[in-house]
Amino acid sequence: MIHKKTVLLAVGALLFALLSVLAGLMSGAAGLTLTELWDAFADTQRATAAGRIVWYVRVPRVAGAMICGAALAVSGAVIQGVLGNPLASPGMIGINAGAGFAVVLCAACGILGGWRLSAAAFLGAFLTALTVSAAAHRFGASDSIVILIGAAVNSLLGACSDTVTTLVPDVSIQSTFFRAGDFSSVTAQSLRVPSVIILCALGLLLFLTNELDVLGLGEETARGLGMHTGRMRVLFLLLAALLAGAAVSTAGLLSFIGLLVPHAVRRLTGGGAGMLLPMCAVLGGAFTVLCDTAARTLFAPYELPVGILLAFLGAPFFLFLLLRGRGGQDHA
Amino acid sequence: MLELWDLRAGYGHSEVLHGIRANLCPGQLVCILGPNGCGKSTLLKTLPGILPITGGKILLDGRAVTDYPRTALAKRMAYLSQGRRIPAMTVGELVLHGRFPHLQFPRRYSAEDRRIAEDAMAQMGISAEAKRPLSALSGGMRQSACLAMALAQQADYILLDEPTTYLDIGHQLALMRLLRSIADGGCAVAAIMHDLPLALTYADAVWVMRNGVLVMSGTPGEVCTSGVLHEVFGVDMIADNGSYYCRLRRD
Repeated sequence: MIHKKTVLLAVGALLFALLSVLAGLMSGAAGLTLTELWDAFADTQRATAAGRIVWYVRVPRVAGAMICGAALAVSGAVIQGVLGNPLASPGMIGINAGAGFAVVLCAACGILGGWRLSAAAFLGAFLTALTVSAAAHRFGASDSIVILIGAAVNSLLGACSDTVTTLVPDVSIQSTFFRAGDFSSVTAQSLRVPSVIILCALGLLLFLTNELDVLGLGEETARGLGMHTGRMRVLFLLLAALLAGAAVSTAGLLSFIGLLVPHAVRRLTGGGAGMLLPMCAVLGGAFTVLCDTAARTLFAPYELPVGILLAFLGAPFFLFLLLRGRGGQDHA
Repeated sequence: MLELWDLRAGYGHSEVLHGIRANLCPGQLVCILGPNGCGKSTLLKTLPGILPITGGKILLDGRAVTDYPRTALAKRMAYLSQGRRIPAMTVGELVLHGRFPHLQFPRRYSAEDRRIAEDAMAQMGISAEAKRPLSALSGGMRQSACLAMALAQQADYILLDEPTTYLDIGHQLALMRLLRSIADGGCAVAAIMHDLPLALTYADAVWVMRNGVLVMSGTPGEVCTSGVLHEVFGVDMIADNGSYYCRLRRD
């Protein structure tokens, strides 16, 4: 049975997403009214300036923000569930940095897009996720220790990326873009591979929401319920790394989406992963589109990389969570 | 029947259980007693295969538990651990996850699963709390929700690590009566307890452990009169027509 609250939340989230997409498509250096936007969509030949702006610039950018935001928010929710740590997210524990390092390496080798870039980003993200998870599992690390391990991994991978950009100066432009996190260079072509990866991973995760909930009950309880916890943990990390890797290969190091959105959604839904993951996907995407729209219009004619705006929003929120000492999950 | 043959288990190179021999039969409520750190929780974790054994064997209906697929074992044995996370979900969702071992493709709970979960909540008297988040509940209420999850598993063997923790005396008595009725219904229940009179009053059999060894297994009357409890805990127990008292001395 579907509860009334669930329906209301789903409708509200979809409405919010629709409004954020409209705001993203209409706002920018050349502002468009709803009528102009409608006409631009009808202009399939891209004959008018508005048609070209919408089809070549705004649609890929908004779609990229929507897809990457959804991927990072869901990836954060999954990682928090797997590690049992409300402070964890792809940015905090170094998964994004792992993907970023792989992307910088690819750029140094002349690979600037396509499936090879996405595969490398995934591999970097997955290896980092496995390392942090293994360390947390082996040492029974507390919430704060996992975050410190993540900080160390972030620093190490950042240093590795810096070394590559120093040794291969041609990569530095790519590196700056990746460090800041930005959707300005997203095109329909560059979105193809990452969006397929993200949609497949999201689809699979929606089938595994009960597994994620049970894993979140703790190792012993999950095993007592018949789960192969080791295998399941690796599968979830793999999917989270796929999401984060694909997002990073598209838009660079976007931090805090995986932390901010799952916490906000948990406050709204108060429930398990069955509602958490789809809501994170919709609201994470919408939130990123709004942030990107704000970042490119607030200081017009200058565009602020959206990663900087996210850091301004996310860092105080992280401090708030840290000071509060808990974030929806706790230990008995 | 669950048979433990010279069971040995531990953590890493440190052996905690040193050759435990015991049986747990359907229809039996067994209370496991012993001082802190004597291996009670370790013993309970080895039974459903959560902790691997290092020696001996555990047979469930004549077949080694290690030969059972994990989900098949979870359908036979429900295990409630001592320390639990407080997940971000409602009471109803938690209890429903007791049906996890019974999940089939497409990995969604059926109407039958929901009915069983509702029955388990009713049994524990927490139906009214179904939609409340676990984080908003008291420790006792949360414990009841976890017990309801174990009941929803509908296993033949129910293994509970300190189920009376966080419960007030009224709820402890209600829980023991419930465990008694579950055992009377044909299930085997093993519960780690620290309240000696409560354990002796309701159990069919008592296992007393010390330093990883099962020092005595018997009926409450036998255990009470044997002096083993004085030896292990340093307290005197008095049996009086089916009731048990703990006599404490202030030195």
